[in-house]
This record gives sequence, structure tokens and C-alpha cells, in this order.
Amino acid sequence: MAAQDHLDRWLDTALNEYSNAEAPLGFELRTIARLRDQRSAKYRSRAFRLAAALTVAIAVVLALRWSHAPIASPPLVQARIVVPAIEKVSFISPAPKARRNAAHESVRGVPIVATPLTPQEEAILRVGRNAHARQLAFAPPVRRDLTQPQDPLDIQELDISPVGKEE
Amino acid sequence: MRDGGNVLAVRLWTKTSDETALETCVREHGSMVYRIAFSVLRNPHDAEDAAQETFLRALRSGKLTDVTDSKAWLAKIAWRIALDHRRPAGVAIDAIAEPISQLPDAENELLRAERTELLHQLILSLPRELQDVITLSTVQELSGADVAVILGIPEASVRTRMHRARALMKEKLETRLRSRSAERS
Repeated sequence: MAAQDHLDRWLDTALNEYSNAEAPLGFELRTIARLRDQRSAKYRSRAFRLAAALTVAIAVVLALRWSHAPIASPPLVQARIVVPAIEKVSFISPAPKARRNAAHESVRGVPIVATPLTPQEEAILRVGRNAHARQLAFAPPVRRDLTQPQDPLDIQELDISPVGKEE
Repeated sequence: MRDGGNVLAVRLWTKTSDETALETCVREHGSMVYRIAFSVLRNPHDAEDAAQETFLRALRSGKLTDVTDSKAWLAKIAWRIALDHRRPAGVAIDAIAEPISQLPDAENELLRAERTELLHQLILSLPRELQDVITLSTVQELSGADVAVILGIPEASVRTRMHRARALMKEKLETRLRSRSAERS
């Protein structure tokens, strides 16, 4: 019985001592410092991830905006409409001006149509026509003997004065 | 936007309070966590590493404000980490005590170291389920209820296993003493 008590006491003592170890000096401080390090590392990691996500988001937004820019830009469309109209007007405008000048230079108000002749040639032709017409108008009527057969090739020559020496 | 800011502020406040609470826990339960780790690992350096890892894991889990019994929660984490760190080939018993020359009463410490070594051998000879109960019950800060929570068994089972473990150890100790006295005679 005494031996059993002795064994019980021995066991109690040994069990009490078994895990009765004091933590090393500065254990708590070292643990808290490690926890703070871990926390700051976690915050740094979070900040880095946030910055990376923001950069990606900004890049995506800018890329989307640039891809739609040519369709949405109004100044370029206006330029395309206006510029050809100006070119057309400036190109065609000399032609009517030339015609107006021709009408002013026309003789006796007779309108002059577009012709391949030069103005000098036109003037010569006009003078010739007018002189012939005047001669026909003032020429004495030729009496024809209608009983005699007519020769179609018998053309009576007219006396036409040279150009510039008209009456 | 204002609601989002409030939510963020609340979360930040909760985080800060969580970390402050954890630092309080280190001061309050640090030695208990260290002893649990030491009871399994039997080495001061390994025990300190395991204890620090316990608090780091608690910080990472972020559930400190939700835990009702932080002591049992930390003890459970410490127990699991210590088991993970335990070397499979057994424990070096020479690492239990500090160098004898540095201690005030060398003779007492020598006796103590011998006792601890013998008890350690007795514990290792027990079945695994009894080993766990007797190891945890040696930690002063843990009651039978705490041991039951850590191991996930009823408190009555803890008492039964403790009784069985003690009986087995006493039996083995008695056998050893008899054989030693027979050797002497």
C-alpha cells in the first residue's frame, strides 16, 4: 500500500513537471513583433494588388476609348463634307465668266454660242455674213425668163468688197 | 458611396480590433500555447516556433472576434500545429532540460530530468489515444473540459482515459522498479 502511494506521488510529481516549462525570455515580444511584420506585409501586398488592379482598369478604359474615337469624332466628318464643295465651285466658276464676256463682246446683241473658233475668227465670219446679207437685200432683182430652161449651175457672181473695206 | 466608405471603415476598425485582440491573446495565453507545443515537441526552440505559428495562423484566419472561447480555440490550433511539427522518429529526450551547470540546484534538476525522461518513456509506451489525453492534461492551464474540446471527445471520456493511462503507467513503473531491485539484489 505504501509502495502504491509512493508510485502515485511520483506520477503526480512527474506529470506536473512534464510540461511545466517556462516560455523563453522575450517570447511574447518576439511573437508580437512577428505578428506586426506579418500584418504590414499583408497590407503591402494588398496595396500592391490594388495598384495593379487600378492600372489594368485604367489601361482597359483608355483602350476602349481609343478604339471608338474615329467614329465618334465630329470634326473629321465636317471636313469631308465641306472641302469638296469648295473645290467644285472654285473649279467651275471661270467658265460662265468667259461666256458673259463673250456676250458683252457680241456684235449687235446676237448671242454667241460656244464654238471652237477663236474670237478673231468669229469676227471675220460675222463681217462676211453681214456684208453678203446686205448685198442680197439691196441688189436689184434679176429678171428671169421663166419660159427658158434654167441652168442650176448658172450662178451670178456678187461683188463683195474685201473685209474691213465695207460700206 | 458614403455607405461603401462606412462599410470600409467598419471593416478596418474590425481588423484593427482583431489584431489588438490577438496581441492581448499573446500576452494572456502565450505561455499556455507554448506549454502545449512543448508538451508535444519537448524542445524549447521547436515549441517557440510552433507557438508563434499558432498566433500567425489565428491572425490569418481572421475569426478572433467571432470566437467565444479564445483560449480553447488557440489551444486547439497549437495542439494541431505541434502534432504536425512532431518528428516521426521520436523525441530527443536530451533536449528537455537546460544545461545542468547553469541551474542553481544541479542535483534536484538532475533528478527532475531523470523523472521527466522516465515519464516520457512511459507516455510513449501508451496507446495513441491515451498519449494525447495524458500529454494535454500535463499542461497546467488546461482543465478536463478544455482537453475534451481540443480532442473533440466528451469530458467523461477524458476522465476515463486519464484513469486508464495512469493505471497503465503505474503498472509499468512498478514492473520497472521490481526489475531494478532484482538487479541490485
